[in-house]
Amino acid sequence: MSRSFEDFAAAEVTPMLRYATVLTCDAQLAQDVVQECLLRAQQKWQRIGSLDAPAAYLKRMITNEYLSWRRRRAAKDVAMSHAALDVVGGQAVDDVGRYDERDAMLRRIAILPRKQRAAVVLRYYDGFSDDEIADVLGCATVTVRSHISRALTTLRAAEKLEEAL
Amino acid sequence: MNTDDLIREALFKQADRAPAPGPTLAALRRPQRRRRAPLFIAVAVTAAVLAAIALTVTRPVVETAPPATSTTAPAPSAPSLDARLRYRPDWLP
Repeated sequence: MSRSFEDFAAAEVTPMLRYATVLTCDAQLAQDVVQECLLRAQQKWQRIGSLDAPAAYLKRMITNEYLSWRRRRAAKDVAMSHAALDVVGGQAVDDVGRYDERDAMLRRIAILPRKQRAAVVLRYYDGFSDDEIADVLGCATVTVRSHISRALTTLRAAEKLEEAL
Repeated sequence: MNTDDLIREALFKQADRAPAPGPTLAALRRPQRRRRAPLFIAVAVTAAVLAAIALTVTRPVVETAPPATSTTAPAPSAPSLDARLRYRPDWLP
């Protein structure tokens, strides 16, 4: 028997927000995306709640919403929030002033093309296999491997360039 | 640290910056406006059906000429009127 939408939302909203924040590199945008997807799911809960894995379905909704044209248009108008800009455009130092390699890597990830970024997030944050990533992104497995290969090439090249400078 | 581990650590650090769930859950509890599209479509379909019915009911009936054995006196012919109308009005004096 499927659980109520309220129970589902209370249990899954935090993981969804964390995933969306990683995917969008923007906490405010992540909140908007998750809220919109949950509102749509709420209206169709009778069908979604009866699925084997409603959480996986919501993850696909969030990913597709991020990749959709509406978000792309919004991103053109207002690229990033100030907080996100601090992360990706700042000095990449932590609280005691040390160079934080993780923020430097986040900066490089944030400028990847959206599908490459989504593939990287699903691989390294969620630990998905190539087949699972292909299922979320709605593409072939070979396309997933291509996205990740290109993303890693870009990230490693940028890392070496920064080290050299 | 190799690149894969660095990517993983960077993403988990970004995840820690996620917003609190409170505002999102509060937004779900607010009453939502129902989408207008289904209501608009229903109104449009109903209007179209009613218009079709109205056209069918008010369409003028084409009457055939009375049979030769009819006992009613034929109406005086009005050539100019018949020429304009598609039926013979037998109720004219």
